[in-house]
Amino acid sequence: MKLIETENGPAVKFVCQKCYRKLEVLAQTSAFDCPACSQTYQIKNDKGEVSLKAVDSSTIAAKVKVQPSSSKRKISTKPPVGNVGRSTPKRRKKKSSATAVVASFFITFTVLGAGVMLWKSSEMKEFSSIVEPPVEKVERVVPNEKTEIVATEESADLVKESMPIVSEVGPISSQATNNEDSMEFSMEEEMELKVESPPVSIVATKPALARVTFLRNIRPILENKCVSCHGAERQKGGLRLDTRVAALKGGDSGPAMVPGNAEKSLIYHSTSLDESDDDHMPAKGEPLTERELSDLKTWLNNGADWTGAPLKERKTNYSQFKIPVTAKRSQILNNPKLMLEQSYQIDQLIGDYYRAKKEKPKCLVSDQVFVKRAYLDIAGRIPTLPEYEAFIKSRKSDKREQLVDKLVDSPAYVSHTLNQWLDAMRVKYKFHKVTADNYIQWIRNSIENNMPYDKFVHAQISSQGSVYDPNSAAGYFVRDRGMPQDRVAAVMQTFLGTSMVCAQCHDHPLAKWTQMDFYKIMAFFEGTRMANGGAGPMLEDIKVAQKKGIKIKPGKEISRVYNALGDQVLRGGFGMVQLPQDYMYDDAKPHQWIKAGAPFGPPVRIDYNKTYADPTESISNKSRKKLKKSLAVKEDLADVNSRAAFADWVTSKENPMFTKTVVNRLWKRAFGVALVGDPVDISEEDMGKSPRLTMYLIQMMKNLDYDQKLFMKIIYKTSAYQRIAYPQPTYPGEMPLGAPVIQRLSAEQVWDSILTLRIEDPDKDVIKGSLSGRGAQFTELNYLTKPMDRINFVLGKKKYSPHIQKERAVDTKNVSLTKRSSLMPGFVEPASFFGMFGRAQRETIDDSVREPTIPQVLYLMNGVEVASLMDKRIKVKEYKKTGDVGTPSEVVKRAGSKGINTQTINWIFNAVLTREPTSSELRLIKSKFNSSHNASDLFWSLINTTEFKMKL
Amino acid sequence: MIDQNILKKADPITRRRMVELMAAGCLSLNFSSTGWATNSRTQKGGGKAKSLITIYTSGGMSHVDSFDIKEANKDANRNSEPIKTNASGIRVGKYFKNMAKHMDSFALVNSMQHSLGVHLFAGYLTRTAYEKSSTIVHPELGGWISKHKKSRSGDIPSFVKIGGGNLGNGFFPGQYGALPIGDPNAGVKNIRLPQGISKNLFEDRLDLTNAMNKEFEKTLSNTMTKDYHTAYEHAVQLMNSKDLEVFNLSKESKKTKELYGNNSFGTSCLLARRLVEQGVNSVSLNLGGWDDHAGIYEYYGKRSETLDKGVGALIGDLKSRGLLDTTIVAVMTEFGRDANISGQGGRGHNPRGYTQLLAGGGIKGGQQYGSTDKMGQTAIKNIVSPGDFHATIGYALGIDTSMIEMSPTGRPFTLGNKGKPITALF
Repeated sequence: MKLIETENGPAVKFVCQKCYRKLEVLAQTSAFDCPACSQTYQIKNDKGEVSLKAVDSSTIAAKVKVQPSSSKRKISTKPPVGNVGRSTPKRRKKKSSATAVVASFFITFTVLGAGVMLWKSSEMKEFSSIVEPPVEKVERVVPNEKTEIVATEESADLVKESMPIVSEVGPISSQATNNEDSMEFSMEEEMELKVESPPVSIVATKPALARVTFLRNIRPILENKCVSCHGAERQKGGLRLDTRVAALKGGDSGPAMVPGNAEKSLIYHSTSLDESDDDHMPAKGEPLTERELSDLKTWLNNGADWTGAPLKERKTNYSQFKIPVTAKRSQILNNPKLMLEQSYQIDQLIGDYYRAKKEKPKCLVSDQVFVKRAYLDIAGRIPTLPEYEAFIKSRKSDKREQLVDKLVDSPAYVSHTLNQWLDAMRVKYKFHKVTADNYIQWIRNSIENNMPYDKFVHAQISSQGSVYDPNSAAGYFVRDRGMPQDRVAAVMQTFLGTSMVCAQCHDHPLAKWTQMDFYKIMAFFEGTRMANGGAGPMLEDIKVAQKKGIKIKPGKEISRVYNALGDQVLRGGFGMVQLPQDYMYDDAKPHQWIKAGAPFGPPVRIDYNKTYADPTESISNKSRKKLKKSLAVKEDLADVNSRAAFADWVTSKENPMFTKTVVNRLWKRAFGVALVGDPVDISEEDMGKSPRLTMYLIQMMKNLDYDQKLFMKIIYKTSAYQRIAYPQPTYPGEMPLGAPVIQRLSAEQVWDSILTLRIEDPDKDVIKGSLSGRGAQFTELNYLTKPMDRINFVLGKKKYSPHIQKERAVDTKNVSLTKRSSLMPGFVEPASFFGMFGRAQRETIDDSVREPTIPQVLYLMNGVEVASLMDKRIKVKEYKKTGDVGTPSEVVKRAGSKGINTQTINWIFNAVLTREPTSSELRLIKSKFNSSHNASDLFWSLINTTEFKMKL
Repeated sequence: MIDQNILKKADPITRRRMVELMAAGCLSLNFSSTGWATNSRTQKGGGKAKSLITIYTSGGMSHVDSFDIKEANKDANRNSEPIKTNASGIRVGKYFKNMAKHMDSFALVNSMQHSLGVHLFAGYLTRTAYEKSSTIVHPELGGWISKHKKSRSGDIPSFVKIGGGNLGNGFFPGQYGALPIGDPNAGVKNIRLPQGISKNLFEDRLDLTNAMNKEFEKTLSNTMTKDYHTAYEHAVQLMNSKDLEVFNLSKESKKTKELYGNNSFGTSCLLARRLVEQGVNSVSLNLGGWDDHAGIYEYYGKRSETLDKGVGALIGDLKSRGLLDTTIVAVMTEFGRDANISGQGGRGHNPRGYTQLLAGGGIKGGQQYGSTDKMGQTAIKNIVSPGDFHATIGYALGIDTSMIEMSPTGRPFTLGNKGKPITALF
């Protein structure tokens, strides 16, 4: 068989004898599987004479195993690891949810990675070498040492060029599935092997992957120290180092790098020279550090993989930017005028941005547009008719600023902001039999009391104790119970805008995060357990009661209520975690315990000597033996409250992502588009369109001590917020800065706006609370400290404590026509109003949708709730049933059941569309409606307009 | 329906997306452009089915009392007294008299297995073939089918879900989600004009709305406004559609209704048959309450009889109308129950071995596939995962289950999570 030269070294081409696919494989491979049909082949390379045999995979000693490496392109031939059978693959017992995804993600890479390529069919005819038939016995080939074969970017290009490019993903044959499966299962088999044989030998035979990646280690070197002279702008010595192709091509002195050989690579040679040498690089600036040099060497020797767009010089030293000084919170509180000063500075920075772009800012909107915008953004609803009239009639020059103050301090702000935080934190109403009532109430109270944002986050991450303690955010842990990896991914996304999802199972392919980074964060949470049920003090309490002569038995109902006392979040965390069994990188071994650590920002400090008593030790009751057993862990682990340390780190002012993430999120709340990028996926380098503005806002938030209300007031008082809105950007890259964007109303905004049209005071009950029947019951029991109080409460002889009574919801089981959306957090069923209008299912962060659908439209046209707003002809059963209609709204009082005249038209336009009718609209109404129509018909028509459902 | 996903349209070709598109592109090139690609459609037995009806028994239905009869399981047999069926060698629990008459149409997959013993997670897995995650919502089987199969049902959406649950589109655009039907007798919610509003009045009102919209669109006209237009047009079209007759159950005789059982589940089965006749691609039903931790035999019988009556009638009806060959019916549950009775006289969760059923759509009836151990606790032979089960249904419907769909963030997914179709069932 003839060798051919490829980018990656000598290779052979042949046809798979089982599936007849054309394959290309590197000659130094000793054995491999056909990526399509899993047939195993062995290659013998006898002084350039290559022979290939199809073999039974179980007889093969060493073959190419596909390893999803950090670079995705490295593979190793490996020493024997035992019998690699290809029987029916068993599924891993506990498979992380993303494994499958990841496995399929790697298909492309693995095909390339193994150096095995499939060829297009048209080339078949020119190609005739057929491999020898399978043989029973083969020589065992045991490579002396680990060799790494590297397929490069060019090989990917090769594949692309050699095949016709089609624009869409075409149907993939069933062989493709085989391919994927064989890859996936071969990894799984390996894992099973590990379980069966002694761990030490596995570690010894496992080929570890080198820990130098292009994105994390090499790209920063090139960007910081090379491309300013050897890049797109300047090419000193004719050399460019911004792409791999350019680097391979080299400049006047020849190729800059030789993949696989660092010593022969000019880029390494010149940077490792003594600084006094004339050829030393970089010619200007700091020389490479020793670590950088060694990374560069490893990277080159590993084949110099390269991903991503052409490199650009880093100019992200934002600390050199000058920004105006922001006032401190205390200063602003003493002198409210300073608040406007902050708003003004923001506008100035936006003005700078416009000037640089040579664009003009948009004009300010009318009062009519502003009042709808402000109410929807801050209060989550349109203004009532009196609110509208009061604002429009006011002649005060600062009425917009006054409105902002009034709305941010109103209960409606609490309602709307609660909805937004519940979406961002994916708070489910009920999870694993634990109702989230109390946790939701905690969030509600935090918003109402304007808890500083850093404390808000800290309290949740470090929370412990009963999930029914109103002062604890322990409910936060119930959310992702049983999904520790998801929890870490979510914490990083929600509070630090950092998407590390991929790193759960492998190094992130497109960002710098490694699997080690991910597990180091997981370590903070390790040890935290949720105890469910357990009899609590029930038996003891009953004894006390029986002594007093009260007849009581531990019945089903009583134990159900008492069980709630056992719903607790235990332990502050070990700060240690065990790596998964399939950990494949060389910086640690599978199953190894590692300590917690932060992937960026200031270091985290955990005092491993300061341990806390294990809460499970206090569980003495015999009936809770099982519980205790389920909570037990390895003996040498101790609770060091690592979550508190983690919370400190997350919320630290030094954390580069924390403040930026919240500023970005809050900006999006006001403007509809983010400042920097997707609120759950930004990087440390991202600073948005106007880095100075971003920096100013970050500094402002810090100086405001994370006072959310104050921050929002400042933003809503900018001129930018009052400008004519941009249409929704077609591409996120076009995110406009300096004015809001037009948005559809959210499900909650539609509901709360219809409510505003229906009842007199839509804000009446919003801060009352939403503790449901069980939620309130559990909270009360948890609050009571004396056994007899608890017994009496359970027996119904004791009333709710006043503060809990206050937070009890009237009715959480039914969607009430008179209740705000935030008081019905649990309603997401598709057939319900909120389901129809795309309320967040709270499965993933901010997963609400605002697309119009048929059920929505049918609801607005024919649903009794809307149709009956003003129409006596329509009878709503629910009205009669609950009698809970409330006092009708002002517009219904004034215009309801009246005929259509100029006055009623005006009122209805004011109330529904928050504006006056135009003369052409008046003509339209005249031409379409006659004396048989009444106000309710106009009401219907306006609610069904597109305009009603839009925020301009 | 409407293309509702403007967000997706706005998705730019970012670097990340580019790499992923490239990855996807390479794949399709590698495998689809070769001449040997054997499509599952052309393979033996698959591709006959046009429609799917899934009947989900949520809570975890006991298999040892129903479709996995074990000689050694004395408790189960004493209580559920297995009966003979019209398929030789297959016996079922005594509650399934109607289904027993159609056992020659059913394939019993007795070797279902996974590892999740919690309802929420197991249910998610059963519906989507993926494990639940906080970073993505996977489409349900019905969502995959509406994505991959053309609609044949006129104005009625091609995926209908009767009786609650998510819309099932997962990360697919909303148009692939189900039309939710809460009450099978009531049909589409809000489809009729409210009492007291005449058709003329409705048209007058709508007329004004449309005229106002036209005015509005003089200043603002883009996808955001146009999508509303389309939604209103389609909704009004549906309100006036003759296809709505499919929901008119008064067309069915009293006898038929009784055959299905005069309860919500039976009515749902009847509606499912009508929807399939209409050409709906997938219908999803639910019968809950199977979480028999305590006193299983107090309730199990009655519930089973409800299930039996509805499903038995459905199979018979489909058969007599010649629809069974083109309709695959699946009875699914999140897990089975322990082979041994617990202290409370119930059965615990058991994902290690349980049974799901398939009938019609090319499935060879009267067979048992795979098996559990002596008592029925653990699947031991021909183990089938929820993903394999999905893939089998996809195969029956002629859907290429290796087709990769990218999530909005560019992660690749397939129908059945790369499960293997059980071709032996066809």
